[in-house]
Amino acid sequence: MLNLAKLAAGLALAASLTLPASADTISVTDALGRTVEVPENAERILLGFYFEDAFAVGGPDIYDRVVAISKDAWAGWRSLQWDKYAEAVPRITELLDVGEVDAGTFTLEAALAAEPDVAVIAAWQHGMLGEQVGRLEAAGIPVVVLDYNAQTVDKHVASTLAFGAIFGEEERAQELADLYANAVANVETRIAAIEERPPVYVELARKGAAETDNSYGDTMWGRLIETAGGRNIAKDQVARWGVLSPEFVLAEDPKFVFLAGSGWASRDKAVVMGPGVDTDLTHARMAPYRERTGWSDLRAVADGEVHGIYHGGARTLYDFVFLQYIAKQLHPEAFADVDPQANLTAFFDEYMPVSLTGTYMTQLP
Amino acid sequence: MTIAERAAPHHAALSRARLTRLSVAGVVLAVAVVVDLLTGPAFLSVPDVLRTLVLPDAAPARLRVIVWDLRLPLTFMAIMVGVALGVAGTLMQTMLGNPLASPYTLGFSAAAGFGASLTILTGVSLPLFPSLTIPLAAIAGCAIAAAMVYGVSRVRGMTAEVMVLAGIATLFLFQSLQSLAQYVASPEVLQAMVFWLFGSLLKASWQNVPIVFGLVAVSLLALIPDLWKVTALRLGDARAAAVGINVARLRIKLFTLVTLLTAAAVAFVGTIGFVGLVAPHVARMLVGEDHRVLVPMAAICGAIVMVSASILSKLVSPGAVVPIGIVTAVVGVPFLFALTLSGRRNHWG
Amino acid sequence: MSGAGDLVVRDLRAAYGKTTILSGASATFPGGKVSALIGANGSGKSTLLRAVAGLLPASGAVRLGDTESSPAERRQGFAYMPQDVSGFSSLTLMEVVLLGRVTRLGFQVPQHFIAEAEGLLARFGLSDLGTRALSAVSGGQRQLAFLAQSLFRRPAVLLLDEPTAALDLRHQLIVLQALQDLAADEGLPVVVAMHDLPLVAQFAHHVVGLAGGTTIAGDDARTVLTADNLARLYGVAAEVSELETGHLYITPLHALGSA
Repeated sequence: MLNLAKLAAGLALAASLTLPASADTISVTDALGRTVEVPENAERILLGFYFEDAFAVGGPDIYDRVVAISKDAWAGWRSLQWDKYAEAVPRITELLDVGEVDAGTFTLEAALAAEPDVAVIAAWQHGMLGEQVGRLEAAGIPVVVLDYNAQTVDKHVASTLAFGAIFGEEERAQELADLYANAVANVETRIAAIEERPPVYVELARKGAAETDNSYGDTMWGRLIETAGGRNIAKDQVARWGVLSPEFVLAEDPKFVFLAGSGWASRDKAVVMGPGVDTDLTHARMAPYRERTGWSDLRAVADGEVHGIYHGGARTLYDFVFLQYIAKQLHPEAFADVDPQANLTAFFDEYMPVSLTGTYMTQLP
Repeated sequence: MTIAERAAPHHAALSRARLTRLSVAGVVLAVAVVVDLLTGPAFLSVPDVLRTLVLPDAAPARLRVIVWDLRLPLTFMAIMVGVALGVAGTLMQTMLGNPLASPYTLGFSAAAGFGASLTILTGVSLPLFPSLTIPLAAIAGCAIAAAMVYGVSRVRGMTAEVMVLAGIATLFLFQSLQSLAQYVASPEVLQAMVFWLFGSLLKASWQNVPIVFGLVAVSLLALIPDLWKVTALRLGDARAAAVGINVARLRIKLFTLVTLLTAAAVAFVGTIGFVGLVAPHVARMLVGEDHRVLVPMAAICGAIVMVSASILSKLVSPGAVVPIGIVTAVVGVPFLFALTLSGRRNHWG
Repeated sequence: MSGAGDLVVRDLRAAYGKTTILSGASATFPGGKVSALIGANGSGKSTLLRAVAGLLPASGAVRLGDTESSPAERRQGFAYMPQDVSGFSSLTLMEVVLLGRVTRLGFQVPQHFIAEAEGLLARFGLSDLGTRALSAVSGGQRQLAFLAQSLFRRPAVLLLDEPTAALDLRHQLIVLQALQDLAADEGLPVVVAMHDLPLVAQFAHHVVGLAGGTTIAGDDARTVLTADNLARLYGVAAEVSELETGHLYITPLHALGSA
């Protein structure tokens, strides 16, 4: 006589043993439009870039679930930021370093040794890694590609939602995505009625006033300027970024000049901005720019419209505050009720593990 | 007709023809300079520019700044660098007896480039004159390379062969060091290094143009009385010695002048290739070996290439900056091809 | 400058580094005549010429006529044409000649210099080639141009190292004839280091033989060019005979001893 129950149990056991021993997976659509199968509630994440945005979407403890990062892209490129976060969340200093893609120090071995469930990288890293991405996937590590660098609302939203899916924080991600999209839409609505598009010049203030540094074409700050209702004078002159001829800047006579500063360590002429930076220092570094050949005649200098903005703030979830700041300078009446600085403080209070300190946006008096 | 003209009509005619070509080259340079001053992203009109040049105080501030503080120093720098590279190239080719020599053959520019890269990499800056940090580092690099080549040549005899070998060793040494510096540099530092290596006229200002002018002028003045002796080197070392030239001493002097000229050329502008190789050849094709005419011609040819490159870079990309070293190659290469293909008989030997 | 007499060399010693090349060479080279300096490779012919020209440190005495000359005086007043066959640049023949006086040229070339140079070119039949480059004329014409350069220095003595080595027969004869005429016209001693024995026999009035750093013979051609001397100078067995016309006929037979 057959014991059907036992047989059924045995068959079920056998069947379950032949199935792949994986947890449940979810489908994530990343910023490149790829659909990737990612383990639900991943506990071992390899994070290549967009570290602050991970905090915003994942919360202050999110790095407990991260095992490896591209350390130089954070500690090296944004050292002041790193110091502040390391103090608040010491865990990040214990994470494995997989190397930096742009400098060519990324090693697949380190990435595999960390045994991640999923790898989250930026679109530019994806481009540079080339076939190494395929090797990661072949090793069983799904790769999700995010893109805040493109500086478009769609990609910001897609990247944020993807983060949300991976972290299991879909609600919070949606909240942030809506916040961002609405902020940008709001700016666009306000300037839609305005005809004027004043000429604007933005320059990376890394080398100091004595040397001309990059301006931006249709990416990063350039894109933000256009969205904020200004005319980026570099738009048709450089592709993504490049140095503008000083004579050209004089000829265009911009009404507004934005100097992008950051926390560059060993540069004593650069405009320093970011977490923990004293505004007086920032202004002191900005002032020499007014002395550049012919700049005293620029409308921007004559009208006192020389501003500093935090370079590390572009291509992040909170870059909408810079959009607001730029728009507010360009079209003050239309943005009289908007307070970008307050919005930034609120963002940090709500979503970030540290409170906002330092100089992120400022006007040179 | 003078005695000479009666006795040597062909030689007199040849001399006249060469001087004519030199004059024509001078005119071409003058035209190029004017065009360069008229070209720029500000799209100033011809009368505006001319008026601003002649009556600067009467012109509006914007025009004055653009013409006098931006364009004029740039054009002057282009001329000075072209002259320096053209003359240095000629002296190198004669001194080493090698048509492929250039001011960079002995490793001077590689060393200058390394000096600049090291400064950019370490972010070091001089206390009193921070804007002179990179130029001084470049000049220091040049001087070190020169000292190395000179040291070796002195020990093993001041012949062209020894110099070339010492120079090649120096060149490779500094190129390797340069590569090392680039390897350890972060991406932005690397971009800065590469930009310097490609050369840029943008840093020209009334502060540094006089320095370059001074170095070039001093070198040329020191060279002029010896131009006949330099021509004699084209006879080969043995025959030059036979007609009374102290070949070793002359080489030392030329070596010093080349170092000065190359240092002046690279200090503020970076390494601009090709001019020092092409200008002497073009000049030699047009006026022959008599260095009294060849050196000025090479100077003018070098200046023409630089100024033309400046014009071209402004026309191609008015807003963004194109490294001038790339443009000099674009200007120089077709020119050299054309002259080579024109079938003129071999002008070197 | 007319010939001031014979060139007398006494006990010339010269070394290259640690190697002694000349160990006491003495000879007389008569003024107004072409003298040939013969000997095997390495016997010191070039060294002797350069030492006499003051271009090489050497001990011993060099006298022209009655007066002894210092090396500096000889560098100034004796013209030396090296064997160097390279360095054909695109210098014009006129420029080559003018370079003979390079140490006296400032920037401008005096008009009479040019006239004088042209005269020299004409003397060697190079008038129409004054504006041609060195690399564009024949080997013989090149040598004549260098000869003109040497003469432009108004030298008291002409010292030539194998001036005809790379030339074809016709040009060898042209150059040597020119040297003979020159010696006679100017009255200066012309010393030519040469290999080609028939040409030596034909053109040299006086022959000096060099072997192992010393002179072993110095007399007129007929006296010096004997089978014995050829054996001592070159290590060859040869037959030397005089033809009916009076010309010397030299037939090399075989090398003597081991290689």
